Amino acid sequence: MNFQAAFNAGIALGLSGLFVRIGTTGIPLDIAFLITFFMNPFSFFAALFGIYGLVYLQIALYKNEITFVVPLVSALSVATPIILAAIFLKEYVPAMKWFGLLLILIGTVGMTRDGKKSLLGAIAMKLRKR
Amino acid sequence: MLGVLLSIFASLLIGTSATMQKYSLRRIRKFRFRRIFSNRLWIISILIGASGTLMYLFAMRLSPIHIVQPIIAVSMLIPVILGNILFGEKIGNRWFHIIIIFIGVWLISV
Repeated sequence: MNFQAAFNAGIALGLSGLFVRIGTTGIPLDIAFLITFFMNPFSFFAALFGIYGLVYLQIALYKNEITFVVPLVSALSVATPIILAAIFLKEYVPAMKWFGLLLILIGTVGMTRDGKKSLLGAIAMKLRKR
Repeated sequence: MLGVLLSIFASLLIGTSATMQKYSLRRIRKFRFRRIFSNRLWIISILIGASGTLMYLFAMRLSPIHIVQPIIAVSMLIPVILGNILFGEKIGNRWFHIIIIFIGVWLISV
């Protein structure tokens, strides 16, 4: 499996999500919501990373199976803004979210190793044999 | 209530969009952006994904984030299930990691 494109797509979409979150904070929902959103400078970076992520997602989908690409991209795009917000924006991350990040890390590493050599892959194989 | 409905629709649309993208890319022999951008099915899938994202944005405004995000997390499973059914992709040992990732995403979203 070629996971480089999926990895790039996940990180880029995560960054895009982070900028969307920064850009939409404090904007009320009214008719001018979208205009306000698109006029926001953070939306420019969100769109930039969004397009970058979309292009890499197409490459990843073309080269790999969808059952491999989508969980990997989803995991990375969810984990990236939380890690970056915790580091750069000094946002408080509760223990449950750290546990979620740990599970994502375990699952992502297992997916990229295709479940053959990892410990979890071995457990899964044993469960399947039963 | 409207926020929950919007997030369910958004989840379905985002999941379906990814599956449609894969379906349209499977029909292209050589990876060229010109071919992809001229593919009608691919354009429709992107529009479906964009409308899903817009619904998600509005759902975030109408309902609390701890309700909307877990529903959106389900969109990850839709392409996996459809990929297995429609494209005959063998999940094998991968299901174990997919479930772990899903639980992780869900825990972060709650």
